[in-house]
Amino acid sequence: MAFAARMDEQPEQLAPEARLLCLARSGDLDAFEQIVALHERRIFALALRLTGSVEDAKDATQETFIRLHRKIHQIDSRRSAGPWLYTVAVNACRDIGRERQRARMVPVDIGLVEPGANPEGLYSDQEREDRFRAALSRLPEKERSALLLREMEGLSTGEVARILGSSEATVRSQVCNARLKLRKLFGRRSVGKL
Amino acid sequence: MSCPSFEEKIARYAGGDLEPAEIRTVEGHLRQCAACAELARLLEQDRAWLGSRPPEAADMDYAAMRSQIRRAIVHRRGARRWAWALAAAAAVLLATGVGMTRRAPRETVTVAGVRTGAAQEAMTGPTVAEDVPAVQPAPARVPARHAGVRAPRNGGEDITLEDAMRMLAELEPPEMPEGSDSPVEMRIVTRDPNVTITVVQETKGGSL
Repeated sequence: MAFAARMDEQPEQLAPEARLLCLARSGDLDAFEQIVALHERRIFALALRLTGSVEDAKDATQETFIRLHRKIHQIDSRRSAGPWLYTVAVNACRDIGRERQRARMVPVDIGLVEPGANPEGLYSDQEREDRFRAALSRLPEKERSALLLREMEGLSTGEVARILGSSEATVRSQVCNARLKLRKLFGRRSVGKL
Repeated sequence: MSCPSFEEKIARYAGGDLEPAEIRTVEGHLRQCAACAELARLLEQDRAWLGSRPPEAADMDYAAMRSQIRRAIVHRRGARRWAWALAAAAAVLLATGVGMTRRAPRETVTVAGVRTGAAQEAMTGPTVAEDVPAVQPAPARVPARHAGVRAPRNGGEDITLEDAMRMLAELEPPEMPEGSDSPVEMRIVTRDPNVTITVVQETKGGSL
């Protein structure tokens, strides 16, 4: 067991996150809070695009870290808690999404832009984000998760496969399909440059 | 219209997922096909957007969220400890029947009020011997979780909160792995061979 093997090490000898994990395991809530602070922005942003709603993303993020606290003895302190958190966050978002799926579905209004018009500059960042999220909500759950972990978090195909419990070939196919589906939801229109 | 036979490769190309030989093929096609070149450009643009953080993520009050997480964890810890204290109090009171004395009701806790679901059945089931104080069943309409805070004053064998806490201080709850949702069972053998108390604590969905 990874934790048992690490019990002899003094917290000050470990890397910063490993040290925090070690302290958090012993019941130090301040250390746990620092671990939360290390990952909260990434997890919240991912949850926001997975669920499509700020409130749901907050719920999913909180649930993710509460689960981390419950299972902190299972985290291998030689590695970051990040991959574990991604897995839990995806599951938490899936659970929340299933509960609220019907209420949250927002159709993509791609008719807003007249054919031939240059849409770049027409939208604020928030409007573009809303359009992206609406389109993302139409992707199958697994494709959406694979795409976001790959593109948003910059994870390799292998890492995404491990997080989602799939094969690399499946993830490669899911990401490819998701890219094309997302693009087709917008037709041939640009959603706006960054 | 892009070329259907190239779309998948272009999507992989945009994501940097192609082998070098395939990259050369796709790039050659993109130089000749404006529609496919446009598709590649838009896919790149989508990736750039996806790689950015949502605008709301910058405005989020993360400190408040951390506080909520901390409160939830502290509440859960407290609930677990309190449940154990209540269960242990019930067990101690039954197991150490002798030594309790009636006192004028002040801030009181009764045996009836300090049990949880499974413990209630275990406690009310056996016949209690004469030297063990009688157990006053909790009113059925009072939820078990809240029944332990304050005892009904119209009956039952009361002890002071002070006495109960003193006895509790001598009991250690069993070790439970953090995050364990498995029921935990505590069995108390009393001086009366007819009375064995089994207390079961079960956690569901993070609450007791």
